[in-house]
Amino acid sequence: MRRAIVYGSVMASFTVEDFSLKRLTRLSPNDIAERYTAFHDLIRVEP
Amino acid sequence: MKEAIRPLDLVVPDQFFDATKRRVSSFFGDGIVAHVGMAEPVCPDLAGALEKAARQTSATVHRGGTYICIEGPQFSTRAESRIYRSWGVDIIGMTNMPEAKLAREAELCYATLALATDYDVWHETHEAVSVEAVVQNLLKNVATAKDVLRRVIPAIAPPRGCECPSLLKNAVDHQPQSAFPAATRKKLDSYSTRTFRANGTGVGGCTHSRPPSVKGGLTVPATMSDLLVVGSVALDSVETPFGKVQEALGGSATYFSYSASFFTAVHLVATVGEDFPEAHLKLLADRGVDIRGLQTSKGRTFRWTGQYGYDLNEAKTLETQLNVFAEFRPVLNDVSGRTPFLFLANIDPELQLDVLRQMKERPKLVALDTMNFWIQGKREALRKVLAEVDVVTVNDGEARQLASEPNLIQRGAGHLGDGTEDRRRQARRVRRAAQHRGPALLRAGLSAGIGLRPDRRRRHVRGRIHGLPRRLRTGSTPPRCGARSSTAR
Repeated sequence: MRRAIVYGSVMASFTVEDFSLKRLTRLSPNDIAERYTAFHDLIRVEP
Repeated sequence: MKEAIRPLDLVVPDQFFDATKRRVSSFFGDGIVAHVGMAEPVCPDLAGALEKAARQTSATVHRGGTYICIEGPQFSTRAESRIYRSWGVDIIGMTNMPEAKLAREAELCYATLALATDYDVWHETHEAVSVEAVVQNLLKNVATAKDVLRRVIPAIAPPRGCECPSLLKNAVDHQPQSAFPAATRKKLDSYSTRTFRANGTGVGGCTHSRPPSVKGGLTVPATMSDLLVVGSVALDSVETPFGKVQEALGGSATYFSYSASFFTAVHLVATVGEDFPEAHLKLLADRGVDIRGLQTSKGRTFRWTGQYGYDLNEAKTLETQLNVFAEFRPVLNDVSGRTPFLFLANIDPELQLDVLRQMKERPKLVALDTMNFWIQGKREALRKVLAEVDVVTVNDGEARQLASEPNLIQRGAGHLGDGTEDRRRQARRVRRAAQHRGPALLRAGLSAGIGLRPDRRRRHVRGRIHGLPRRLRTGSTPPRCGARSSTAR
């Protein structure tokens, strides 16, 4: 479930980069994987 | 070619008639002749798998029948069409020959899924269909085909129990292989899987493998399955400090289904008007979104006009034209009513509840998106539907509005209702959600997400996510058009 939420936010972050579906139509699965990693790195806090 | 096969029906033919004229129809020649048997041109195992997958869709499926393949590119004259019918053929096309012959020569398992778009010209009483209708059927057929492929591919795996791998066994001209011209053997080496390899070791035929669990670089959970989304498809005019668009493709269900298509098979149920551009339909169909549930209704497509300031969480609605959306009532069929995952995109909560009631089986997970407009105007209906879903997405302001509670942590730890829900009922729902997927969840916009793990009463709070996305401010989407559906604001 947490992964789904992060993927949702990743997709949203692409969506708001342009109007309508313009950004999503230029999206590759690799882009998603890369941003997922970036997101993960950003929110991870070492104990 | 038969009255009983209607537009949008699926046919898995078992015979072909080759009426092509100028196509190369054999891999052989140049010193090697092969007479491959064509009495049964279709692999029964593959055809069976195709039929089984096709019957899992909502389309009508016909197993068996004769496909006549004409040369084209022109369509038949009426006289030709009548003659073909008198021969007893079932469907007509320009595609399957000579590929069926070549597949036999290559010892490939071969089967066809034919998707009817229209009656041929013989049908004089059938009311003339418009080009638009044919194109729409074509697009819907593309979606159906992709749906069937998704279902059939995992079902095809070696070893092959059919006779296809040995079709050439007794088909080749009887002379020693050493007599075959070397150049021809080399050419065949790339086509055929056995018998003619220059090194003489070719064995076996093509094999089918299961699709990887990774979808184009994304790790897709093995449990991810078909997803049904019901919501709006709209034409939006949006202005932000960074630009504006007029009548661009939008709508909560549009954004959600397009985004989700990167992860799973998506079935869209929504409505558009007759003015909805075909290019938009094609965009969704090309992404593999099943648009058969996208009704084209008489009238204009739903339109939304809005404005954003620098805070993309707050949309100002300038104008809403419901148009065909005013009369929209989603209708689920036997197949969509059993989809295991349901997303109720941002629409009237009464419609969301209606969809939920139409589900033949309780989905494994139901998620819902809503907005301030409904929280304010349809609170009671929203409360009812909220009581039956597992996941809700709202932004910070909407969470406060929904909860009548300024402290989101307390609200998350309590429940997702509006404070009137019976405690025991609420606990049951949360437990049910926990059994399915773990935490019941309240998502609060890009800036914060609050998850609730009911079994431990532990709260998880995510801090503000500044800096992501990098170019967040370059554009935005209106609230109804589902940036929220893909959890953006």
